[in-house]
Amino acid sequence: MARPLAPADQFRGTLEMLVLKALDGGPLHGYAIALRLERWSSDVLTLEEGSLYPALYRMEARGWLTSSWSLTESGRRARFYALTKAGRARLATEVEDWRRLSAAVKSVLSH
Amino acid sequence: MAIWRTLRARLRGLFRRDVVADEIREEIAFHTRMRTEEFERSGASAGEARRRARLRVGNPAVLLDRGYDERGGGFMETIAQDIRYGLRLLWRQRGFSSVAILTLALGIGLSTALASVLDAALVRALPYPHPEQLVRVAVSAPQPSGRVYQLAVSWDDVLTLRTAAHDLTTVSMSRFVAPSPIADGPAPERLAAREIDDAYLALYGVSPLIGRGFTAADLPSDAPPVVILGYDYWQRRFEGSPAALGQTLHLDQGIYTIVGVLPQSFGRKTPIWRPLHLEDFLRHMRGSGAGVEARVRGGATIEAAQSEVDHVLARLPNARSNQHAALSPLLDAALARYRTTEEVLGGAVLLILVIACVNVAGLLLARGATRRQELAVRASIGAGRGRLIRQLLTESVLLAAVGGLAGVVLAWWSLDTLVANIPMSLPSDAPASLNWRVLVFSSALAVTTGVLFGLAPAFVLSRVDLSTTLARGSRRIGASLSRRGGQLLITIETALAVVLLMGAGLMLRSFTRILDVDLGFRPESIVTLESTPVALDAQTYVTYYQGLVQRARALRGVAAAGAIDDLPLKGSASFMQVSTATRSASTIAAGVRTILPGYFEAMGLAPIAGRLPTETDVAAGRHVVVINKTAAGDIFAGTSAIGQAITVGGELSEVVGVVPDIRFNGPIDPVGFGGNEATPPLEIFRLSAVRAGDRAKALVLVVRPTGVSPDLGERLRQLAQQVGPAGIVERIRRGDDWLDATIVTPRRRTVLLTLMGALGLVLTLVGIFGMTAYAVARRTQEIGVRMAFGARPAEVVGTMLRDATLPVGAGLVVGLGGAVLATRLIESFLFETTPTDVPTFAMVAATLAAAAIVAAWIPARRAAHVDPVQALRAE
Repeated sequence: MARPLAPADQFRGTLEMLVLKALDGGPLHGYAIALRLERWSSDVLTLEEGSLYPALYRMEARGWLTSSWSLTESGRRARFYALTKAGRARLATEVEDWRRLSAAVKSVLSH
Repeated sequence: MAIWRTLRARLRGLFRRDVVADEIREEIAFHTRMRTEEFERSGASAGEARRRARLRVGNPAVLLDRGYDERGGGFMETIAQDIRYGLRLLWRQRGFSSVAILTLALGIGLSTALASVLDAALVRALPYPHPEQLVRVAVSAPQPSGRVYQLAVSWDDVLTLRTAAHDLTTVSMSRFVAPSPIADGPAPERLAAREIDDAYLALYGVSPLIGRGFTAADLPSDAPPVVILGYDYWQRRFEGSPAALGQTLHLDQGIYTIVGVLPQSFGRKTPIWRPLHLEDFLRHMRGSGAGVEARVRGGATIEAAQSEVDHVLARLPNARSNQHAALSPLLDAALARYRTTEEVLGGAVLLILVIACVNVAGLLLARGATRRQELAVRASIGAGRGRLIRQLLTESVLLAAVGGLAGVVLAWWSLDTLVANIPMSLPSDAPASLNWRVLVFSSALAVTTGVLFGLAPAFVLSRVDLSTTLARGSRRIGASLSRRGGQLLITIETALAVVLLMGAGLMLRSFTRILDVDLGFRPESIVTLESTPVALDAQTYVTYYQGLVQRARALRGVAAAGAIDDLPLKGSASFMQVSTATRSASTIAAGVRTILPGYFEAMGLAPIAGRLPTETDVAAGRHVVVINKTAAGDIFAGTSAIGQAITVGGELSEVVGVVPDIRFNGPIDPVGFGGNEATPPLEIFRLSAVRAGDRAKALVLVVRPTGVSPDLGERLRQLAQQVGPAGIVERIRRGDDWLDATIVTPRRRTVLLTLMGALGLVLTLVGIFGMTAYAVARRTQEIGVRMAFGARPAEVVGTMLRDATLPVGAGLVVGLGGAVLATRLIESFLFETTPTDVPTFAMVAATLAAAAIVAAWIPARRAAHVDPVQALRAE
């Protein structure tokens, strides 16, 4: 059995940042978010896709997202998520934090 | 903002949880379908695509559950789910549930009942507006003896204070008076009466239910006689009809017009309220027996009011320099009255509640062993530790809620009995009831106990180690209640039970000593009857009681009959100055009782010297007296009292006999004046009906039956109603009831504390039994192994027993230490018993140890019946 990628708690924050980033371009439904993350990460980040939804609900409860039911291009009913102002601000701080962290990690590893 | 959003989402989840669930399901289904289609497009078969999509998305049930948790609806939903599950569990484990619920019901029920009593005694001690402003107005008057008496001020003072003391808004005088005979009711009776002035009802913020209160115009003695009725009597006599107003009552010897009825919430037990009859001594004398109460102006302190009153009284022409105003708050007195009783009862109930909680916690932990596997399974499908704790806590709060409900029912059912037997008299204006305050308290208590006894087990049990529990799959592996843990619980319970039992033991020992007191006669073989004729003139009284005594003697089953004005053991007698040829009046005061011949015979007392008075003495009008032994020794020290002349209340009499001393004031306080005097009072018994101009005085018929005669009381009642024109029978008592009346408070305290002690003991024994039974069950394998290696059954039982008795021993030591501290609280309740009475301590320790050994031995015995082969195969 494969070892989990990261302990849930550490991964959770990252997942949230990724979801916020995916939604930066406009409202998407859950499946589209999963596809986008998959494509952007070149299939490295394949999560248990179901856990996307509890994360979405959590972020909605925190006021970073809003959601509404709407129709997809193929005419199916789906729930679309969109960034709020707070969500955009959150994305900015997360990205900033991440840049600093990864720069630091990179600098450590390059020694 | 965020709070609002969360709250709204949660509420939505609570009320529309199906919508939330449908939304989550729909999202997951949409996602799965999209994934399936993608896999199909890449060439997988329909079935294969569906299988892979499922795998990729995850278990829909788990996702729904986690989604619920995040979307807020989940919290409430899972609680509802936990409650349903918990209820099913309670039902499935009925044995466990009934023991736990019963235990909790006892603890919570007792607390609820006591809370009702305390609510009436403390929260509603004085159920009137601004009770803190009410004060008793008196002067402190030092006596030559060194004591300081508090004397209520006179009516003159009241009138002065009403105009001159600005810190007092209302000043009122009132008093209890002798019960009023009512002649014109359905049956003649005597009713408790209170005389009040025109300010009394206003003082307590009461207005009559119907009609009016008294005014200053009602007070003068030539005013038309009026009366106000108490609520209960109005209901009984007039069936609550407003037509009672304006009707008349034949009270005493006057005709009184009913002008008002008091509301149910004020003085309902007192039927007759009359205007204060301002006799001269009420007008001018301080300490006349009437009470003066006042209300301090809002904003003024009681100290300020007191110094103002002191100034006003000091300016009076007849002011006495050594008397100073003393204002004492009524509320303080009402609250202080039963403080010790309340503390003791509260403490005992708290101990029982804690024992109950410890018991249930032990039971939950013991039961937890059988749930290890179930919890492990739940954890493996994604329930976190917090989720498990929440489920376990929900279950214990549920248990407490059911127990609490049963407890409230128990309290409701037992409250009247408790109130009737509690050593406190509660204000009738605020009867103890299960009102909303009490119910809120009980609900809070149930939830708190549920969390308290559930917390430790929940934390212990939720620490699931998946790999061992599931892998080994044994039901017996999880040592959820460790040996140490169980022993700690037993120690705590035993220690608490010791404290309770010590209280009970001391009260019992003290009560036995009260019963052992030699009263000087045996009350249990005596019947007394209190009755009065309706007519009030002295001559009717004399012939009534003489006729009553003589006809009682003629009744079948009566050995002797006589009468007396004041029965002994009540601490009262009329004290009079007595003189002899050699000693002047001012040196001797004696309690003087008035009797009819036959009294001593009925009491079973034979004279020590001389003779007893006879009917011949009465017929001849001889002034003869009998004196008690103390009086003979005191007045006629060294010489024979018989034949001596003695002047009692100004009347020259001859001493014809000396009788033994009997208790003046019941067994506890022999004298009853605060207990300082050790010797019984001098007592002199003179004959009724031989002195002209006697005031009409009620006597009590005293009868000694020849044997057991259950209908004697009824026959005496008929007799009392037949003699004379009309007799009012107040009360018929057997002598032991009469004795009981003098020791009712210690008896009630003893009964209550003994009950609590017994309850604590039973609960503790249940706990020891349960914990030992669990230990045996848990260690079956180990026992099997030991027996396979040759341990004898007796040794095995011994081991199990030792495991239980060691903590009992530790609990005894801790508990006895605690009891030394705790029993000081009941020191004032004890009669000739110290709070550290060694025999009682020994007795309690022995009882508890013996009972604990039995409680542990019964389940421990099972260890001897363990079949080694079976026990080992079970693994």
